[in-house]
Amino acid sequence: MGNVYANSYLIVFVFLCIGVLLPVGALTLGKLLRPHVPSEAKQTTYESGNNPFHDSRVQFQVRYYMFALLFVIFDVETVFLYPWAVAYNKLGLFALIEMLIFVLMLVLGLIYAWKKKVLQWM
Amino acid sequence: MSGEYLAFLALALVAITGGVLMLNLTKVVHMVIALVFTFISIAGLYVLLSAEFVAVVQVLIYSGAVTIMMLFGIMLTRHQEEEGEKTTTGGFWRKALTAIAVFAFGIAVYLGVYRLDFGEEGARLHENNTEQIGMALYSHYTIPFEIASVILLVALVGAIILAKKDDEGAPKS
Amino acid sequence: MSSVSLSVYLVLALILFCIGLYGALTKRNTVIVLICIELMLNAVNINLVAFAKYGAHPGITGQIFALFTITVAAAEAAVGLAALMALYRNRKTVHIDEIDSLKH
Repeated sequence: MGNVYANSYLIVFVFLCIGVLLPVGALTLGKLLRPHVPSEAKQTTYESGNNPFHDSRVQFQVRYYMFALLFVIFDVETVFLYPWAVAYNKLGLFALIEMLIFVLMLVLGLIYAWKKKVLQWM
Repeated sequence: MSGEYLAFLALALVAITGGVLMLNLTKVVHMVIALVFTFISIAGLYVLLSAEFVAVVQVLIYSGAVTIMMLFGIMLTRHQEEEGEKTTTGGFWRKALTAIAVFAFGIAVYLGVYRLDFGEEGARLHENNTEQIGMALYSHYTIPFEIASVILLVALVGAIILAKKDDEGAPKS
Repeated sequence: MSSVSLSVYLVLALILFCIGLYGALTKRNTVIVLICIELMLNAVNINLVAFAKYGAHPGITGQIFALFTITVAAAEAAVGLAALMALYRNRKTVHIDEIDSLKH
């Protein structure tokens, strides 16, 4: 394994350490510094002044899942677009046609979702 | 190269810890969060294996998309959960038998792989990794690539048909 | 010759696969069963990428196979959750031991 490749990930590791240490350090420091006087009213859920009347984790509407589903499918499509774009100059016309067919398939799916009114919120 | 070994040990530890936590936690959301650690450390392992692009895809799809979708699935199907509700099926004996069977499977495979070594190493895999993948994918694997698009289309249409049915009768919020 | 060899990765993948298998067989919530199956597929991906680097014929093919596995796994998760939602709508449960109408 090339040492350049391994060493280039050292900086990723350093950033990872900073990213973990910074919030942990800041929160710990804040906990040491701030006064800690809990009372009944302070520990209720904050709902802009209203009194909370049931559990905050309610059942969501199925529409949320529709958007998650569309996100996942098109996320996977994007994954295939990256290597195509990087290698495009060496690939030529055939790859372009392949990718057009691929995108066309997913556009069909998008049109289906549109016709089924999945994209509408209300 | 001991730096690689250290990195492997740390990542493997995080991955297995995430898996074991997933088996032992009691709340469903916490189980999914524990598995996110496993997924991210698997991405780190891909980096160690000179597969940068697969590592990025792992973070993008598993730690991002699939986890979000699973969390939505949990939120959408939540009903009144009693405290101390059990999280596993079956009684003690059934679980013990399952554990023994899984363990025996693990031992059998372990005996097969623990000294497997071909002595070769793909030394050039990390150079322009994404471009190599692009070249191979779009010149040798055309048919699987197009079939993947068909699978995605079928999954999209099928999931919409399965999940959407109740919208007409459901009360609007 | 590096100190991390093929068999170490294979053993790690085996451990993760066993965790996923045990979870998929014993967990009660169907969403967790689905995500355990995702964990098993991830273990398989580790194997594919490890063989792409340390296998008998090192090459990029293993990584491409891993990409296709990830694609199919995402599609499987999407359809599985949609089926789960249809089931929840009819039965009002996600517990896998209460979905047993074929037994009675």
